[in-house]
Amino acid sequence: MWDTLVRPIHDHLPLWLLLLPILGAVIVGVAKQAGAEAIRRTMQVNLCLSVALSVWLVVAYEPLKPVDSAEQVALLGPIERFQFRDSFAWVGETRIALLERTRRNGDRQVVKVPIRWGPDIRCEVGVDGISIWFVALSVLLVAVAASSDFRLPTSSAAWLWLQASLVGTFVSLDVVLFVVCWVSTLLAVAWLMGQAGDSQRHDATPRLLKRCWWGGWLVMLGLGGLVLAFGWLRPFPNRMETPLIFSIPELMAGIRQGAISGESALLWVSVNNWLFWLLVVGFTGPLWLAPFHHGFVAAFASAPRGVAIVLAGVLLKVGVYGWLRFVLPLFPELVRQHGDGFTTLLGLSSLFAAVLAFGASDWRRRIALATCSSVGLSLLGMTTLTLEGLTGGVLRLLSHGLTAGLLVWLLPSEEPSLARRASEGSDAMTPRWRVGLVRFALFAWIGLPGLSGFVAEFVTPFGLFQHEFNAAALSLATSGVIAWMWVRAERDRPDWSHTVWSPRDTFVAAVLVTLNIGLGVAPQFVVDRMQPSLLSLLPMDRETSATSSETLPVAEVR
Amino acid sequence: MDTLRTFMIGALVGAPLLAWGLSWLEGQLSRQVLLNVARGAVIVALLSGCGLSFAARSPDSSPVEFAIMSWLRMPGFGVTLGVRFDGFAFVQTTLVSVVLLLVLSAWPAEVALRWLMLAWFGVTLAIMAGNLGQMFVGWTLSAWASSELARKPGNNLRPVWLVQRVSDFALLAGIGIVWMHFNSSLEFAAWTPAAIGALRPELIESIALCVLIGVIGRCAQLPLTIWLETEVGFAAQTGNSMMKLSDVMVGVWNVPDGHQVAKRLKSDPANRWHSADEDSVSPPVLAWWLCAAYLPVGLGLLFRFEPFFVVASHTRLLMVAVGAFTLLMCSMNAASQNTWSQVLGQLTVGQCGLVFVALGLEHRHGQASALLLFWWQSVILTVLLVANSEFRRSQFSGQRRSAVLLIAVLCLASGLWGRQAVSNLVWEQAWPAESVAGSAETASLVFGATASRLWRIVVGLVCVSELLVSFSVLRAWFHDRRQQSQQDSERLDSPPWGLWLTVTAMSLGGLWIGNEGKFTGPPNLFQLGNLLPLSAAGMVLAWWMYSKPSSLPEKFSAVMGPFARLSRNRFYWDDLYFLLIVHPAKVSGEWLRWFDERVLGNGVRTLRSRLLHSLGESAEPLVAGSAMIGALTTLSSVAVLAWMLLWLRS
Repeated sequence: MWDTLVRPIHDHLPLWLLLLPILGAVIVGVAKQAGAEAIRRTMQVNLCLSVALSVWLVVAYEPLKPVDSAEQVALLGPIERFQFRDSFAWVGETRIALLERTRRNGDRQVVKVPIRWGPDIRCEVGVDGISIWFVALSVLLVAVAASSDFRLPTSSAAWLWLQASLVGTFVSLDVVLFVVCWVSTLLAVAWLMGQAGDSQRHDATPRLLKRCWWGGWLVMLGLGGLVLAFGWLRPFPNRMETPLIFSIPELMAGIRQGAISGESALLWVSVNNWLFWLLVVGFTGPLWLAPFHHGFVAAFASAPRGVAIVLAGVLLKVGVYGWLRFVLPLFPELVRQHGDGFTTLLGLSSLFAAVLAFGASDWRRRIALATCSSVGLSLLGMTTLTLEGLTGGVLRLLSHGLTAGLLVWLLPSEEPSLARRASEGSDAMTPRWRVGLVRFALFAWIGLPGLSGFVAEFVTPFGLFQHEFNAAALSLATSGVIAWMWVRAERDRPDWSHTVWSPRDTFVAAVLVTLNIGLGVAPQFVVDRMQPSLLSLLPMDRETSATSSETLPVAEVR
Repeated sequence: MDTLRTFMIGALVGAPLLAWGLSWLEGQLSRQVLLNVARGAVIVALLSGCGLSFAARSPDSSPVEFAIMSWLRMPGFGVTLGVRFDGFAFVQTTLVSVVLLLVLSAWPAEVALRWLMLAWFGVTLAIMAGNLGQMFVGWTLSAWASSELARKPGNNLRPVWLVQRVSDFALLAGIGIVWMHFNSSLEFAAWTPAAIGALRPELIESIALCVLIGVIGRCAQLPLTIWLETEVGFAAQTGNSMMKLSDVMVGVWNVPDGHQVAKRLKSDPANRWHSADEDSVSPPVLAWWLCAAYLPVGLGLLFRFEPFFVVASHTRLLMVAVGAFTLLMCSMNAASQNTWSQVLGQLTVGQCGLVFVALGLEHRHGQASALLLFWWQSVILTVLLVANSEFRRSQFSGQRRSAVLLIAVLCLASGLWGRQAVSNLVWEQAWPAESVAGSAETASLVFGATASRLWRIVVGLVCVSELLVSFSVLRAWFHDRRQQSQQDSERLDSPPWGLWLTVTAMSLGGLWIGNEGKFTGPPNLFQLGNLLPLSAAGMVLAWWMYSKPSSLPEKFSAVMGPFARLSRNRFYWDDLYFLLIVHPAKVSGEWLRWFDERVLGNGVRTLRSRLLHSLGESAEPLVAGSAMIGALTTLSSVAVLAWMLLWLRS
């Protein structure tokens, strides 16, 4: 039973999560002749299965799973960080090389050795302790967002396309696959925004896409340069046969272990500075940090409810994920060298966005600006290169995804379909409940103890104070302004007179509320899965000091 | 035994949570059922507290700590949720349970029960917290939920919630300093004498000062008396106030109706000091605030941070000054109130000021007497406020009511022994033995005054306050009787036997406090010293002024008026808050938004169009961000980079 049915799914969970929505999109395309009900059912089954698989993935991930082979131990360390891996050759080939070998007795022998040659681009997927949470958040929020829009077959297929792209972005362990999935995500969002939203979306969507695409291109340039530079500059017996490595784990392991040495090392030092800035700009641009936030705020304000949830909850965080996946592990010294500048700029940017949110009078603009501020604070924690800062940063992203999703879900929607439902006169929820839920979301965002936002607010200062007092002060001031802004905004109740509350709304709100409370009450479940992967991002000296404590189970393994 | 202990801890913490959960069914279940469930939960918590105090008694009377769960473990720190139970926590939980039972007996139908239950959970959490983090959570939760009790239907403004954040921030700063200097530990156990002794004196003073500010905000002491709700100030009139503060505890302009001064004041549109009974908080809510949530939890925090206050001599003297002047101010305000709830509210806060004074004493037994006094007075005041609430519902009337109120006055006066005990210790502190005096004079200076001079001023303030307390209580009784005589007394119900029993118990309790918590014999009335004559003088004064219709009250009001108005004009805090913080933040936020949209947004657009203009029309697709151009640029960039790398490698 286990081997025949469960194991094929269990061992390839990321692949299933990637393929399931693609399969669903195909079925939706076929089923569109069967009517809207068939499409709705297909979507529901697909989303439910995806959510179930993502929960399974989170539960099944073993943060301290030891590596089996000695070769992997030498390359990637004693803990199997990337799990549930699948790899399929895409571009590139394996050639048979003839090597001449001299025996002890002096005889010469020609042997055939398989050697990877050329660009080794693969469809490689897998997850670590960081990406599982982004995968779970993506699946959850896309399910929430898509559940509000089952009208058109094209939009249903687009939602599934978006889910596949997002999951692919976070599970990809190949540079090319990562970039392709990321850009694909933007196309799906553009498609969905074109389908619905207010009249301003025609101006806002191109602005959103342009910035993200520029960022994507810069990232492509940076990662391509990284692959080329690493492939050509590292020592290899026969340079003509050096493969270009696109695998993210191998790239990280090779660079961290100082694979480039000798003459090439000096060259590498001068090259990686350029690559570093390409990646930094490429990943930071799509974060829409203040004062470069206008495009995101306009797009968020004009997007339909579902797209707004995905925009704020997941899509904006791909840039931060890029920092975690590429910038921090590949260039720790450069991050540390520019750490003070980064933290100061990020702190000022977050504070600026928070003050702008304070002056905003519209709920959507408030959420958008507070989101920019929150993302900046997450990155601020991560650039401290401390375990507390990294943990707090990722927890803040998760918390923000849940609270922003809940808040956007609760706001009245101007979409024609929802207004039509209101006119049909279904059961209206009493405003008291809505007010209470909005207040709950705001408190979770502010960081009321026991709710999700509190964990990040509690943990991050530990890292910030270790790094620099100014960064900590800016972060705390920003959190204070955001909290104050939400307390004042809470008086400005949204107008729900044109919307209704359905059982589906109750279910979605209950799920998000439960997760908010769960993350606030039992954060150790998340932290335990996350910490080994975060530890591997730290520079060597800090990694050693962080694991010296007896309280961390990772230390025992190491 | 361990299982039993765990069960009792679970019952103590779980009872409020269970009651809170069930209270969400208010409106669907019968109100009487919910009230009975809540009472049952309170009784369970009370019994569990009693059982725990016996089961968890340690031989060396040190607090017993239980770890419940590990909330978060990081390499540098860990937070474990647990319970810390000692004698002080037992008394606090008992007080809260008793007050809650009394409050529930008269809980108004228009106030939601769930906030009361949540506030109870917060108070329990703060009292039994195993570490500073838990304590802060309980502290904030109790304040928030308690303040929600005053929210009026359809009114977005919350009177107390926002103001309480002042004390939250101060306490948070104190906790932050503790955390930074105690190896990132939030545990109480880390406060060993050696660890505290290793700190610099100014750090200890800073911690104590932050905690003191937090407690001042929570206990409505000067100058953070703003949650003693004031009338609408300038900020509120302009629509920008953080709240519309009702006037239940501060009182109204003390001019009886019909007086020409009252007519003039009420006809003046610029005068904001008018009666606002419709905005007032109901007496049971007031009883909860004063006697179970705000004041006891605040004082409990001072007690928890005692290791710091013992060393922080300057902050301790500041605490004494704050308490003494609050005592005076509240006593004078009480003398100008027209309703029982307002008088009792002022007196409670004033008594809290007296406890501040006692906690500043160097004698430990003085602190114990003061805390005992406060706890007894809390129960007495709860009974009076709850009884007052019942009177409002006209369950009693006429002579019966006057009799009950007279007994209540005597009951309140039973605290005289406790106040005298504190007063005697203050006297000793003000005029100490020669050897002690010399060291105190040289060691402590507060705002240029020596410690002993401050203590002498405190003696004077305590004496004046005692006179005003008895005066205000008797005056309120006469005032109430005068109002009642104008009404028909159609129903003559007998007062509940429980009230008589409680009054008797409280009177005996007052005597017990006078003997410093020991039943060593009958209290010696002749040891009352200076307070008895002062109290008697106040009563005689009130009798003279109010027992018969005369013009004396009006004259007295005219004399007291300026001071009452001065002390009540605390609205400047509201105005200052608005003018210094809210208004600049709003203006800067709006200005920055304008700057962001107009200057930055237009600037970028202008720059782009200029660039387009200067480059010519051929570059338009590049500026517009065509996908084709972008893709070609990317590919060419990759090619250039590859060529550069090859060149460098060669």
